[in-house]
Amino acid sequence: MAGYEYANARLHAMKGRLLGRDDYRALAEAPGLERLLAALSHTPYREAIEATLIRVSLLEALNHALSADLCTAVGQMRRFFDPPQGRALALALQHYDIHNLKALLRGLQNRAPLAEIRAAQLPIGDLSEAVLTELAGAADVRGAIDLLASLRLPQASPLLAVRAAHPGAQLPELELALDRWYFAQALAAAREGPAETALLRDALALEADLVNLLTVVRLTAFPAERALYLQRYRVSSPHELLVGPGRLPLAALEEAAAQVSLVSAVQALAGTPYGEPLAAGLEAFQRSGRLSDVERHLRRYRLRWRAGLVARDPLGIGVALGYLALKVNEVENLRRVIYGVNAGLAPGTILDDLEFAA
Amino acid sequence: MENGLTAIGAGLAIGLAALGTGIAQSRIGAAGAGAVAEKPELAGVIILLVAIPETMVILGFATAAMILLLGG
Amino acid sequence: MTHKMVHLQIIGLKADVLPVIHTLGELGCLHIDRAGEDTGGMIHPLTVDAVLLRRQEELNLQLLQVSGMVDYLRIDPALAGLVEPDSAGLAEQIDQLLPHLQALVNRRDRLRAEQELLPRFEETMRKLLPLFPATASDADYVSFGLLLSREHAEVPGIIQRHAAEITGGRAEVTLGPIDAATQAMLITAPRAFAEAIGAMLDRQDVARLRLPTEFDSTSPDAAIASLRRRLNTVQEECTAVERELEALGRQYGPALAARQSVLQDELQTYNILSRLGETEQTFVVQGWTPQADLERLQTTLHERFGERVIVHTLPLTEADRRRAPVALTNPAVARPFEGLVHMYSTPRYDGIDPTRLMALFLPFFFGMMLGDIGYGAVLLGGMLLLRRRFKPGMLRNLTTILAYGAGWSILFGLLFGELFGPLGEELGLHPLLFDRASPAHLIDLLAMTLAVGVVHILLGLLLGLWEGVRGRDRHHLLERGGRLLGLVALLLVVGVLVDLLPEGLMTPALALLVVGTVLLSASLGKIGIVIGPIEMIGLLGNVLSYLRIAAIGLSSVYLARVAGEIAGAVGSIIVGIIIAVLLHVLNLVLGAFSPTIQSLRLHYVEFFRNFYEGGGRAYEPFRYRLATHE
Repeated sequence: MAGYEYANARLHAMKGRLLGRDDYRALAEAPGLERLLAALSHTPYREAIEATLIRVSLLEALNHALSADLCTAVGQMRRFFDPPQGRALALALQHYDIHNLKALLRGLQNRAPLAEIRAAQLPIGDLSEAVLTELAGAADVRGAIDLLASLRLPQASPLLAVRAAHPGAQLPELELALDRWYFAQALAAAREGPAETALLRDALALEADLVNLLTVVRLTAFPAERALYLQRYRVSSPHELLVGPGRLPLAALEEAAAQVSLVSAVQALAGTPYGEPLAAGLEAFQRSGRLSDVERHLRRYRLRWRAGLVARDPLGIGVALGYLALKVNEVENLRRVIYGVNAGLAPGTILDDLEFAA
Repeated sequence: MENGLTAIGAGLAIGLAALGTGIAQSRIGAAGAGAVAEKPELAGVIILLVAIPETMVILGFATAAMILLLGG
Repeated sequence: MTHKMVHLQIIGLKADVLPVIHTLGELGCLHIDRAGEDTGGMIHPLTVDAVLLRRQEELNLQLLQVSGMVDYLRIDPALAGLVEPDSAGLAEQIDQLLPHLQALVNRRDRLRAEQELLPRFEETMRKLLPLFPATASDADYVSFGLLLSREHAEVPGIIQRHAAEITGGRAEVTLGPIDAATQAMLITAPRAFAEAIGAMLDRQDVARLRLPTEFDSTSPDAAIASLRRRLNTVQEECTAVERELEALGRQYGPALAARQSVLQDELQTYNILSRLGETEQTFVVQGWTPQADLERLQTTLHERFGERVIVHTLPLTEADRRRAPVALTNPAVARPFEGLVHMYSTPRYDGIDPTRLMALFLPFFFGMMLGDIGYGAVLLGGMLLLRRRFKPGMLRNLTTILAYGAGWSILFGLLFGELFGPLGEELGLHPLLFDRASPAHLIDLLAMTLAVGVVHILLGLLLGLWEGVRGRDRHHLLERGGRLLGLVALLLVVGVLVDLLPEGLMTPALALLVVGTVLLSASLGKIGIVIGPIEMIGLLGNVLSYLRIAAIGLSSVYLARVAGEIAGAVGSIIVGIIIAVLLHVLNLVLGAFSPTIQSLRLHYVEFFRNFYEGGGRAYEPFRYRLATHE
């Protein structure tokens, strides 16, 4: 158990410096980016703002400061731990590589500007800022994958494999390949790891479940488009779309995916730990018709579950995993605030869009 | 023989107590270092916390002295 | 002791508010509180108008920018005093610097990215190198580097077949490993087929080896060589950028530091505004100043503003006495110890300042532990030398404290007859008190340290009791009174046990102990029934804790002895002396460190808990960083 005392003392203090609802309110009420930046400079983000302000425009400075602060925090965290615990943390952080790569490929596909791609990324995995910037400079999706392979980065292998299997594979297939690859190797690594990884295993399982649940939701929400959906992934059955498995057995997921409506799919999953967020998401979906509402409820469930790790494992790796979830959520919230203030949204609308663990 | 046993007893009394203090202080010290890194003004409180387990080794010393003085 | 503080209200016409605050900042002797919190609605918080708010934000942005520059150029804020802080000229200089600095920092980022990426590309190229056939360097031939997944073993064959079909068998194809998941393939073919092969590869969706465009030359050797060259120049350019940043830091250091201070001071002025109060016509500053500074404050304000500003002394209520800011004032001898008190907790204005007591006991304990004329003298000399080299501050205070300790340890060295351990005895030095290292005197040593402990704790309890009486605090009275009775009872019991006191005192002593425990328990409320007796046992632990003085002292003596004996046991005199000196140095280092920590702990844990609460707020006057303004 040695090795957690120092880290957890610091992590608790870092957790204490996370922004609260009142801070967000003050930020959301800023009438423009300049005032937002001024308001943010009265929070712990001051140093990051000082370091970025001299370089770029206000919007870029804000986004840059968020990334920089997140990287500093995670960099510190990595240094707190020695190998066994550090490996568990690194494994958890590698999920952000997948997130970043997906954001990058999607951005390249849509020909999004570089700044927009960067603003969707959380550069705290193994892929460094330099690598991500280089990849974002590629001409297209395939160029980025070629670069990834030329730099001999492990994330290239599932992408090369899917291109070999289906020449001309499209973005959905590539993304699915990345997910399946990540969960296969991360779950395997967590299975053989030391005691620290027991909690990590649960966290990974939750991530895998979430990916699978979203697949089930997409398959069942619009039954008419089901065939089209499978076709986009060039698969014949939902089974091939599932990753993991996490906590939910594949059979249960397949059964849910076979339902003819989202209502019955949610009913089929009612007994699982995800019954509640799914039901809440379904209700929101029925009102709005937006699938992102279901996703939002599942993400909220995940945030609360991960933040709860601090209490569940107060003397172990749980504090680090919980803090990580909260810190990432803070950065995502602040990005929503920046977007909202920039777009001139009302403070209330901005605040409604934020996620809180408690 | 008897003297030897007395000495061993005294050694155990202080040695084991010191071991206990060491284990406790290593963990409190690590946590304290973390706390001070974040909040330097806590240094005084941390010294206090780190010092608490020292009572064990002092009691060990007292016991050892007693063994040597009374038993020896 | 704490400085006597005066609670003040400064009232003036609103038009004068900024000049008055400037004056106060220059004077630097007013601790400003939020005004109007306890005046029953007569005074409202000052509303700051939009123009001022706007200005405050501008300053904040400028400060952020300047602070960023200061960080990038690693400028020491102490440079601020070197230039005349006339703000217009400074701002201009800095505006010129900004684009330059931006360009440099961006360039450094790009260079660092290259430093990270180029070696990775180079390594990939090196893995491919053995695959290149001789024709690859031929200008009439063209090569395609491919990266293939090992999962699909059939793919290389398919591509090879296609390439052969396109070129009529004139393509050279080689295959080699890259890593566990990937293999590399190289197709070299006459240039005429380049387009056809490229189209085939696109159809097959094969990943190509990509290098940054400037290295994408035909020949692999040339590509690697140019990567190498670039890496070297990147290194040089990085150094050049760093050097340029350093030069800028030197050139603009004083200006930037001064600008930072100016901005900080100005912002501070605006931040202070939010603490002021207002009535219809006037503004109100409420705060504290040491009695000694009151006159200076009054006359300066009067000189500058005449009758337009009134300084109004407020009566010191009981509540005020509790929350008045604390500025310690102690004789020069005790002042170095103030930091140690603050490290535990700042004293309260109406409480005891334990600095002087600490100045007396801490070096005393230290001397008792080290207790050696030789070590004491070396330490004293060393500290007096070091002391001159430090600026006033924490480190210098520490040397002073250690010097006091060294003085006491010379005295105790005389009492114990120690000079570098047993060397004193060999030179004919006799202990004035007793030889603490001899088994015969162990009991004396233990008794002496316990006696010191009892006195120290008794003193603490008496002070605590006095605090309780002064503050009419029933809880403290019960708690400390209980402890005091318990300690007295303990002394009596011990006295009877060692036959110093008549046996008849045993019963009253035990009765006293019970009374003390009951009082102590009563102070703790309901849980006192359980905690009270435990606390009483804890008191015994507190006394025993002073045994550490004996324990640390003995370990120091024995190490000194070992040093002497090992030195004696070695045949060669020179080697012996070297070993002895090394061991003595080690002992001295331990001897300076460990007794300090232990004495500090005896104060924090055993002594302070009986009377000292702290929790005061430090006197932090509103003061500009730069001496002059405007």
